[in-house]
Amino acid sequence: MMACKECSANPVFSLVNRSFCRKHYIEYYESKVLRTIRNYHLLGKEENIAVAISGGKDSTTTLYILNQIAKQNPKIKIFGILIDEGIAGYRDKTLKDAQKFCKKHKIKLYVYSFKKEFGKTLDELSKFGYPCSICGVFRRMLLNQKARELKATKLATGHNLDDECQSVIMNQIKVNWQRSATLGPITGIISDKKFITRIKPLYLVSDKETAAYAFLMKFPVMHTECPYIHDSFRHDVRNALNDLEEKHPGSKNGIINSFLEILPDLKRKYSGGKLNYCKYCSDPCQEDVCKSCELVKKYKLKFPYCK
Amino acid sequence: MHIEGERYINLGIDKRVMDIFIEKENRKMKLKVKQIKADELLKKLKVNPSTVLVVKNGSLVTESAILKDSDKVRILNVVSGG
Ligand code: SF4
Ligand SMILES: [Zn+2]
Ligand SMILES: [Zn+2]
Repeated sequence: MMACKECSANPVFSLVNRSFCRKHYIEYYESKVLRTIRNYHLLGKEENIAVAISGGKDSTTTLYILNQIAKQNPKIKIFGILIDEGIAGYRDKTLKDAQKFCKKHKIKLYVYSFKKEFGKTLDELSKFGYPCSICGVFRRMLLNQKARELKATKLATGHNLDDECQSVIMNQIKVNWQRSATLGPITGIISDKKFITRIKPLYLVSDKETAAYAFLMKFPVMHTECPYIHDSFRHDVRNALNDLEEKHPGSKNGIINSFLEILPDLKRKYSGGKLNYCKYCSDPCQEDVCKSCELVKKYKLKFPYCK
Repeated sequence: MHIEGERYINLGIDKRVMDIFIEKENRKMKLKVKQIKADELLKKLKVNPSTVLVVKNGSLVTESAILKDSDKVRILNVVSGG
């Protein structure tokens, strides 16, 4: 058994060529995240960061690390936003974990539900169509609107190396460069004051690395999956990437590094498109009506943001 | 190899039993084995190591850890979807 490279204590985590004890693993993980924040300029001197949290390991870790930074830096403030889609047996549980965590760390948490905002839970909406598409569109919209209302300067999410790799490959398969142009550690190809810039502090750490960190830090997170995830394209891509990584370690890092090389060109190519504002909610969008309001109309739901 | 919950699986090594909890499938199983390396166990269970953490008696261990029959082993899913 390979001992910790730094101190020869019992290893808890190993990479291809080195092992870490608990203490040195935590150091390794945190410095990797801090390096990502620094190298990609995710934080400015003065910020009011909204952290999109789900109660899962990634967003809880993001919240924890940003809170550590905020504690040492009076000009950086953070708070949590949780979107309760209404997924019985999943979100109700992770919501409790998130509330517990925020209470313990004295972080302000705002919760918004599909039920209250749109009139139906995702479980109820799931009979209209593919739950993940509905969920993604509504959650994105609510996060943007609410973060803006709460005067956030940026929106931090828990997206990690695995999530990003999956998105890159999915977009490749679907030949959607325009969507890939919106990825990266700090997003927003279109600068518009109505779009909150999104940042991904966990951009370079994997699912497994974060799970290990959350476990060692004793975060109250369950390692469960959303019940709707099993029928998704993403799920298949994730499995394929994990198989590839197993046979060829470093594949995921390779995908991301290649992607980061072309990303500036993609951003340049796909920026500058004409922007409209949704006639119902006034969110910036490509058409006259944004995706979210389109679904609201189609399914005859409430218009939460009619102006 | 097909594994079913709560059924005893004989790996032909010893009669003693290791308790294993596989979180993803929410399944407990017992393995008749005296000792086994964590990565060998994952291979037998057809579990990809980059998708799980192996926890031995409450502590996180690496894939090269030796698991003994007296150990309580939990295999935690690292993917949190959604
Ligand atoms: S898996 Fe799909 S339905 Fe579940 S939270 Fe994620 S996007 Fe929503
Ligand atoms: Zn050490
Ligand atoms: Zn709209």
